[in-house]
Amino acid sequence: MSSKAQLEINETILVIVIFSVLAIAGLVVFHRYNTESIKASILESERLSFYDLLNQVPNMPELKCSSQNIQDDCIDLYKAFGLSKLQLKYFDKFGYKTINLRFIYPKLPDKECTESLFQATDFPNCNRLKIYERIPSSYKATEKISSPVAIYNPVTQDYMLAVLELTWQY
Amino acid sequence: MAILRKAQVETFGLLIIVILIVFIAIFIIRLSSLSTDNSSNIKDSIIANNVITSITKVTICQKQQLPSILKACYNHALSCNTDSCQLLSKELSSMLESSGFSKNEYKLTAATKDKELLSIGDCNIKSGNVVASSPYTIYIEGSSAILKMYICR
Repeated sequence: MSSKAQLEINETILVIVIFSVLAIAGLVVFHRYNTESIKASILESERLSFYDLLNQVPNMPELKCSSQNIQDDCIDLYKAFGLSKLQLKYFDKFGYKTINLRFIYPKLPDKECTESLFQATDFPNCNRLKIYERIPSSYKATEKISSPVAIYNPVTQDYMLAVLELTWQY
Repeated sequence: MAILRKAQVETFGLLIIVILIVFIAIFIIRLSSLSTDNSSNIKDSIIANNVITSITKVTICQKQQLPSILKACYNHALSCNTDSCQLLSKELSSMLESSGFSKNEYKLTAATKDKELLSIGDCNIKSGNVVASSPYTIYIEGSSAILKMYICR
């Protein structure tokens, strides 16, 4: 009688132990899966915010061209150059990103737009303008997206075509 | 004793089946939520709309922009001493390819109700993965042309 009872207790303990091991293993797997899933959701959300910059940047009042308080769907060339001088103030908005404009139509000499070129009478005699750049000290991945934007030159009153290039290091 | 053991084995088996079903259900739910790649479509939609708003503004020649050259194309008139329709096709292809689009990645169309004025790019808009811009209307003497950009991925 005693040995039968002991055997049943042993069996019950064995079942409880196996069940506990399986339950703990299940919880660990679920926790890891859940953590990865949350990380992926955060990254996806950040990626969406990054893609949204393609829409936000050309519509920033600091860049958008306007005449007599009427806004137009283009970037003012001189405002873009002005913004490139105030990069430090935009970290809260852009974070670790690089924002470039590459003028593609009409064709312009292949060089970076600098302060000295800006002062020249034939500005923009260059085809690359770095609006914002902040690179993290270390990163695992880089993502680049680009979109065409119209650039208004208020001096010549012409519209050029540029590619807005956004780079995100994370 | 034998009946008890059998019952325990059955309970244990049932437990394993329940755990397996829970895991399979979690993976199915996860996979179904991954199947729609929304972020890529959102990005392409923004780009397609940016293409339309920017190319309609660009000065193509002698202070003329796309809407006025498209009107000339509709009326078979010249723009900058060139056939307007040909000028648009050539310049817009050049702009889009310089922007990084390959020929079979995009299609740009402009058409009135009765006439196609412009169609550049080899993207098959009937294929599955196509994102289109919002239609941009250009008014042409009693009619209107719809300009649309498609991006194939």
